[in-house]
Amino acid sequence: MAKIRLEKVNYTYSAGTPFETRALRDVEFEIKEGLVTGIIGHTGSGKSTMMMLLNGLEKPESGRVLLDGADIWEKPKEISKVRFRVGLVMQYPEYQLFEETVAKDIAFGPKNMGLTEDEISARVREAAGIVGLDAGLLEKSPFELSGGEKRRAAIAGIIAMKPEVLVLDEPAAGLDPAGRERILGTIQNFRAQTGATVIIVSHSMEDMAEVCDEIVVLLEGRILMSGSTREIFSRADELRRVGLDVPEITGLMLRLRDMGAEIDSIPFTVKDALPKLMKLLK
Amino acid sequence: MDEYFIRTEHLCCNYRDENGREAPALIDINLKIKKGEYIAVIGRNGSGKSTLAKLLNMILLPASGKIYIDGKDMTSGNLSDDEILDIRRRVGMVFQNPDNQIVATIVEEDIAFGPENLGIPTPEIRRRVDYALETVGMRGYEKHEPHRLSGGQKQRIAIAGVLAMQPECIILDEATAMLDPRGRAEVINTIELLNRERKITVIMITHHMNEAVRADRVIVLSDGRLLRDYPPRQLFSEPDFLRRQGLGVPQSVELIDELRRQGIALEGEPVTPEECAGAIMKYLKQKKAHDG
Repeated sequence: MAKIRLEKVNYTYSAGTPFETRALRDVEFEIKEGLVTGIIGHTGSGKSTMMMLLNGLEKPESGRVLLDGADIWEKPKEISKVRFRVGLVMQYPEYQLFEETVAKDIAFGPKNMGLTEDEISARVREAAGIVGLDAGLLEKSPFELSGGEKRRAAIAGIIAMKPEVLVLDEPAAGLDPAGRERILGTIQNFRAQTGATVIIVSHSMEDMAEVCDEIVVLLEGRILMSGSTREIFSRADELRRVGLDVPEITGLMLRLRDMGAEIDSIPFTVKDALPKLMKLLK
Repeated sequence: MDEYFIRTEHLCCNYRDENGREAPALIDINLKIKKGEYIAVIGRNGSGKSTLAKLLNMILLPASGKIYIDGKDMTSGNLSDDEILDIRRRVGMVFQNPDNQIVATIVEEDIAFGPENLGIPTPEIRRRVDYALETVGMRGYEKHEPHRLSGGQKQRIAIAGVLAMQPECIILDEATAMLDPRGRAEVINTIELLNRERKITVIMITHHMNEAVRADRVIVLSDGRLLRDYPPRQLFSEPDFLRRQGLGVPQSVELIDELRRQGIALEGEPVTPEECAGAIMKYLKQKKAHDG
């Protein structure tokens, strides 16, 4: 079932000026409920615009954004409710930590929702648990945390609002490999514990292959392709033609096939690739 | 003349933590880098990578130990301001965020900014700007506004700005972290070209192991200490060490490692996807010949 539907969505930047740019053109697709959907595309392909449209930070010029079947702009005055239901984690969200303690920072969103103190502190504990922050860290200043911990604290602040949809822009950018693993684990944890819908924008095809069920590819404001992760990464040639890529392991397996190895379906994670190769090599 | 362009001896550097206490950022770093080498520096967030970069172009000063650049002691304490500026010219830096290092509103003015501050005559500046744009593949963008360029283009403009200072060494501090795959490839190709054809020494700080495999040597920092200084082949043949360090290995190397664990005796020390595919095919052919 579709959690979010975009219908013929158009969006133009700087309309009426010499810098007018069509960011999205007749974009139409569905985000399925309870799945992790990845959005890939170059800088300037319309990904960020799309993210802001999904939670009502931007309004489509024409077309509709439907959340659970209802147009989010039907009652413009109630758009802030949509922003609680669709939580947005921006790029490098740790730069926006500002409170004295980690706990207060995580509590900021729930406070704005007008919840009781008890409910707020329960949510802070729960969100910290999902992102794997020890209770001992909650009373520290955010600035005493490591880079990866800060990132997870910032994500916890959004999770604490219990969004039905969590949207993350480059959640692992700039983190070391272990920090990256933890962020991806956090996202999977969140989905498993809440059943919420997750949307991730990332340039890392390896990360996308690891966590996404579905992938949407944007090119110059249009949908180039969408489908299951397997379907999308099996179209490596098309992706490469437009300057995008496939995970390194997929590239390696395609190379082997081109060199004459008998590989029927192309894997996109190392875990998938291993049994296929063992069958050939044993 | 020193055989090494950069040499450090027992280099230590401290930083002040939130409580005002001094804590070590780098401990006893001994490093030798020859002119024209291509070095990758990897390590977890907070391992001291950026501190090392800032010491090498004198943005930071060490607590103790020595830094020699082209044989000259940078830590003697009696360098003139001109000598310090000269080091910053010879050892240029490119940072992570392309939006934080562009100063002008027109591409060519941005690139001219450094040489102008050195008081270089206008015709020479023109020559340098053209050369720098040519080298990074951005001729034709002279009059463009930097903020309208893509991330990869902005980073190449930042590299061009460093090139206009005629450096001997470029340090890139996670310069590809914010770029899309195309932007990343543009920057890596540019850097490799500078290293190969202009013999510029490159020090590349990165979290991307598939970038590190392309260097001549990879340096691993952990909690301020230098743990490894190996060619990539040697380093990536120790995947367990890298995993313990929280660093991981490229997917191709991971695959080879797993296949070997399951008893497939692959030859050589392949690290790139091409080499790994080659090693697997070679094994497959030998097996077929043997079975057949």
